[in-house]
Amino acid sequence: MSSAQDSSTESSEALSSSPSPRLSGSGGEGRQLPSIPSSELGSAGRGNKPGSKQVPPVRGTTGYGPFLQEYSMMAEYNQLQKQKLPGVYVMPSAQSPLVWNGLLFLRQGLYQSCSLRFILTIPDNYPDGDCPDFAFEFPVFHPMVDPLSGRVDVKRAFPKWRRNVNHLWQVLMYARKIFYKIETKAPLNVEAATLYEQDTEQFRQHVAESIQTAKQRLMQPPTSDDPFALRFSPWTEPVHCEAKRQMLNSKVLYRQDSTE
Amino acid sequence: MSWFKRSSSVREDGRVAVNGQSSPGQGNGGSSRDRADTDPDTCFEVFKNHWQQALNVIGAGSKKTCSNDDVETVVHNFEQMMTLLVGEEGIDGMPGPILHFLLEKEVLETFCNWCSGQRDHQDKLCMEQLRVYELLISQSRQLLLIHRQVIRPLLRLLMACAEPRPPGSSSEELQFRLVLVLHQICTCISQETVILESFFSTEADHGPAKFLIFSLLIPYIHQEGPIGQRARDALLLLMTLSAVHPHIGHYIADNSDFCPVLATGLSGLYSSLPRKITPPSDDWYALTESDCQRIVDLQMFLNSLEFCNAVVQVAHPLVRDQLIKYIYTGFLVPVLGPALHQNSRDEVMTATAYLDLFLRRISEPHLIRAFLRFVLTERHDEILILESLITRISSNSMLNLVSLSLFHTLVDMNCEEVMFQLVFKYLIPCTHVMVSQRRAVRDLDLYGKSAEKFLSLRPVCCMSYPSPSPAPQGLGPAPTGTPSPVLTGRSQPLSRTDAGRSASISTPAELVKVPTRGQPRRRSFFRSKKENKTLETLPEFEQKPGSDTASVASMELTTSIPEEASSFSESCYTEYLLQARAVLEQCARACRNWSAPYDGEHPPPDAVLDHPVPSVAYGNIAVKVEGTASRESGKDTSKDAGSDTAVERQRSNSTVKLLSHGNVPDPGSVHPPDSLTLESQTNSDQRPSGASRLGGGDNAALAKGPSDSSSSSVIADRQCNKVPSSSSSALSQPPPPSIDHDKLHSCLHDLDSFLAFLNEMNLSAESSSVSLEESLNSLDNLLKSLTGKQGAGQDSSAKKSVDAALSSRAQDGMSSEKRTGPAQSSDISTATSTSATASTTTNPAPTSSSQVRTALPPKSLGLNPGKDVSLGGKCRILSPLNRTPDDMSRAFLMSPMSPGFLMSPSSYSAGLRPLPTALRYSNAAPNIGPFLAAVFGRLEGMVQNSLYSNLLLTSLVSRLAAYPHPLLRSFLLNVNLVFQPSVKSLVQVLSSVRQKVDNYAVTTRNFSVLIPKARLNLKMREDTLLFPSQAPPTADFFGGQFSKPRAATMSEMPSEKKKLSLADLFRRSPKQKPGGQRGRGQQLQKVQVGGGVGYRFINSRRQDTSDSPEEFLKEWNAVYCALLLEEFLKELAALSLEHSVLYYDEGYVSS
Repeated sequence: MSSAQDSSTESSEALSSSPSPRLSGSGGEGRQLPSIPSSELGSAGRGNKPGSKQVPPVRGTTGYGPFLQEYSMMAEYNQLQKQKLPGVYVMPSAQSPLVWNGLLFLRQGLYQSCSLRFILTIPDNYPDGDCPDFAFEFPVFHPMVDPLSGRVDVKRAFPKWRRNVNHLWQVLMYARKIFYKIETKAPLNVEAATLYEQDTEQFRQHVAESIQTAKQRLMQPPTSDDPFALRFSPWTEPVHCEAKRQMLNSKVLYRQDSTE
Repeated sequence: MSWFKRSSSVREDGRVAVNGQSSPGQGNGGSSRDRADTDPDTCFEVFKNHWQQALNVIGAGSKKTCSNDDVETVVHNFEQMMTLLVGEEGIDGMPGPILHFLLEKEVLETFCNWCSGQRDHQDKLCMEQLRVYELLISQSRQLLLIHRQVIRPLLRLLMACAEPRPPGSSSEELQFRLVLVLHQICTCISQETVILESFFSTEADHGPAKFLIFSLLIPYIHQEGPIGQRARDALLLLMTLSAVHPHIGHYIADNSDFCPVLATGLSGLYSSLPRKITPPSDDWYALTESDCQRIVDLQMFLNSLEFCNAVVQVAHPLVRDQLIKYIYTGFLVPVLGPALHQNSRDEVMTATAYLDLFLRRISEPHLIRAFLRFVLTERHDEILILESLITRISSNSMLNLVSLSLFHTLVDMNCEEVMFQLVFKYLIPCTHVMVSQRRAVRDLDLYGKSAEKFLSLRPVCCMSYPSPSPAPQGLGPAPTGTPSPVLTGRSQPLSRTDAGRSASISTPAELVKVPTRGQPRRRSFFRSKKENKTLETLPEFEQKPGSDTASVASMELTTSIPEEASSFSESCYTEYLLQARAVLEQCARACRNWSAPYDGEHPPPDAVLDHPVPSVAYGNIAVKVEGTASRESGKDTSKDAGSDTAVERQRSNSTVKLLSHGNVPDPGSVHPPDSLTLESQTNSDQRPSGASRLGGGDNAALAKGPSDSSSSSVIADRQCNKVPSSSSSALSQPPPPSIDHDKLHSCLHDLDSFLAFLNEMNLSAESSSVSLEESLNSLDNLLKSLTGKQGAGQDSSAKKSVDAALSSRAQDGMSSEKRTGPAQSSDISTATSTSATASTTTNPAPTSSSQVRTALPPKSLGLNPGKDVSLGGKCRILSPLNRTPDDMSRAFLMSPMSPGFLMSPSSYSAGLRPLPTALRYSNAAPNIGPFLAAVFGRLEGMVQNSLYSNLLLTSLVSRLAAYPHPLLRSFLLNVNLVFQPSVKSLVQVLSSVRQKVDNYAVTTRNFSVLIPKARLNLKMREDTLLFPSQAPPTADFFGGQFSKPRAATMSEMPSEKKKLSLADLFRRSPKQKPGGQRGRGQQLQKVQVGGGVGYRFINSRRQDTSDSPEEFLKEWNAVYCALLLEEFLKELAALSLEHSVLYYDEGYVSS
């Protein structure tokens, strides 16, 4: 699996030059299979039958590595759900439990109304490995976001990844926090940092532009070919209503279920 | 069946009668049709005519006896009349002319009188009358049963029929008719409740006559065949009525002997059950449906039991409670209790199987509760029943299987009380966890570390090749090229078909031989044990020859198998996961209403402090054995008294309540005295012995108390603040009734109060008198006194005096308890201090402590915490819902300080435990309770256990592991949690088993040959369970050695002494010894190393069946154990994984 790890980092680096290929790269590489899926939709999550797991044994001599790993991911995902981070939506990739597609909606502050697609890539020796990799699809104008790759330097918040202490949701929370509490120390985007400190007005302007671009980018299909990648389509009344109805209904069902 | 609507075929009015007079010779059917077709007036005339004719005979015959002809005439005419009557329509709700005439002339009455005068023809006439009434009730278009003139003769008739008559030929027929009519009446009543009143309060004010039809039905309750069935149906109808009409309920409960009869009958039927059941096969462990059908008596018993269940379901709460009370005192305690403690092992085994069956059969919560209370808190000969049941887990015969099955049933109920008694009571204080780790109890194993650990424990001897080549394709070592279901199934994501298919191949839950209940309760029973590896996967042995022989051997067995076998590749882990999820979800859902999450904080660790603490208190046991024993009795009795008074108070409240219930129609006023009678009767019946015992106990306690406190006075003061403070507050409870009043009042309807009452009742005399007859007799007496209710007045006054006496005694008891309280606590403190000093020293090595444990006879193992089990449980059950501090303190008050802990293994090492520093945690010695200890003990002996025992055992543990509650989950599944050195974790136990298996495998030459064979056997077994039609090759299980080894097992009596001289038994090691798990296991292996190898070597190839059945069996047991262990570990790993994921599910544990 280390190969996967390497390649994913490679690909993300590659991405840094050209963002779009990166996703497909990681997807393709994540070995096969398909079966995982279904699941993790919002609260419905976790329907995934681990069984469908492919992939040869990795961990230990037991040969059950994939099961263990997938369950780890499921557990992490459950934790995330429990956290209910405002404005954060995540859907694990269909191709690998180690890739999570996500959306971040910023609801206030300088970046209000900004919405960003992101991809969280988890090292395959998780939780014993390094920090997960977090990258926005669109490199929004922000001191802490790499202007080319869109990566956020997670390592900064988690210098050493500690199992059972650090969790994936914390990464997402960190990624969200940087927009509300902007820091400029050791920036990835130097320009942004400088502007933020010296010319707030212009910074705002840049941000506003960036937000606009981000919106447009959002409407385009995601760079990943992952079936579970998050896609946007123009707002249409009937679709919206239907979806809303379903959501409401499903909520009721869920509640009934739980009271059963 | 509608009695006022006639079948439409007869409905036609227009035609005029041709012939107004029917001749006696005319056929019945024909005439009725003719009649129906005639017009009302004609009918009326004809009717009068018939009556006149009949009257002629009747009038003449009043002096002398009638001839047969006379009787015939009357009967015939009467029949005709009734046919006419049946056909008549009412007029605007008013009686038609015929009916009017009938009522006015009191025709029925006259006829009835005449009939009763005819001694010679009584049976015949009764029968005729019954037939007539049957016709009237079922067919008449008019409401007949509201007329006094109809009912009175009917009741008279019924009464006459019920009179005991000589065993004549017709009596059965008569009974049948009688019950039929009764049933019809009941049906009518339930349809038209107006009638109820006319039947209920006609003549007598109370007594059996008051509700005659009911009283008449009672004798048939237990009858077999259609009569009994119909009678029970009818009774159920009445029971349903009683729920709606409280006065009926009151009547049944207070004035009838329905409940007693029902319960006694249960006892009677039980006594006719076979005392020994010969197990149909070696792997038999529970009574199945087919067993029930095979044993007629059992079928009858179950009928009655199910009837009870139904009554409990539909009847008025009073009736329900009373019935349960009688079942408890009349059946469970005096009959089933002793049955579970007979001398003969087979009989005990049978009784246990019965109990298991009963528990599976009943469905009504109240009834189940009574049974559970019996199992959990009742004692026999001062020994908690639960305790003896637990002891038997370690037994070595079939009893072990049956006991395991019983516990599986119990655990499978998802019942908080059960789990509390078995497990949580001991886990709540968290004494088993290292102090620093206690917070981690709730931790989730997010990264599957536990699962990984479990999986890594799979015995080497049955591990497949690491097989790098197949790896990329699938988890399992599916041979390349073979179409494996897993691989094909994988292409469709999440394919259900895949699951289904592989399920049918290897591990469907249903292949369990489901006993009795249809639901998949025993799903995992024989399932985990499946074998799912290819035969090609050979043990990881270097010796090629070994593997060759393996395949050869399997070829020998069935040539076709190998190819086919290749298709059971390891798809199973998914199965395990799916299964685990299903079980977990179901269990979590079922436990959602539990009162606490049991996560180490709720309830707080000190909530059950009163149980474990005493175990520390007796660090210096040896001296005190006698003292504690007598103290125990003192405690017990004082507790009796205490709760007695409580019950007494509840009782009086209940009467108050009844009075205030005065809106009950007429008979309401009758009830209170009756209920008073009931209670005073029982009291006066039972009390004397109880009271005297009480007195004795008091004295003992009094005598003992001071000496105790003087013996250890160290820090008594300080402890006094802590411990007795609660009890003293509790002590002040009895006097001010105002507080309890409400509470008691509120729990009045609670079964609990009732049962508490029962408990006391039979704690006194009955429980010790074991014989069935005796207890039945006493019950009978009780019944008589209940039904004959003269002298209620005196009784109630007598009761008062008894009451007074009791309460004063209770006071005594409590104060004596109070006196002993400090003594106890001082004990505690001394122990604590010693442990504090000792805590600096190193912890005892785990081995030593475990040796201590194993050195104890199994009995003491099971025995230890018994006393407090019951009491703690009792108080808890008493107030399961309102767990106020009040209750807690009462619980403490009642606690006998667990003298049973004397022999507890934990007490030996108590002084050596490090002293916990956490505030809320108790410093008690680590203790996981007898149940878990027994199960673990058994697990440790897995290598020696029989296959069947292991199957049950592992499924029991997996079921336990499915409970979502962190305390239990962490105990079983969290491998990261560090336990106290003296407490073995499941992982430790299993590693030692694995060690043994692997050692055995290495030292046994043909082990590698046996493994695939065993796999095949398991597979075949599975198939037979799945498709029973296929010939069951069960006998192959031990390669034709089926019965012989079995016999060896059976005959081997587990004797503890032998174990001591184990070293002497070097060569011929005793195969199975309960309790001798660990140390012995080592030795066993040495035995193998030393002598076994060469021995085995000689006849390696062939199964050396001829040499020594014992060795042979041992070998097979070990082989099966290896396979089972592997599967078991997979199952545990799956459970652990699912736990980590399920935890956050909605409704998991709602706190």
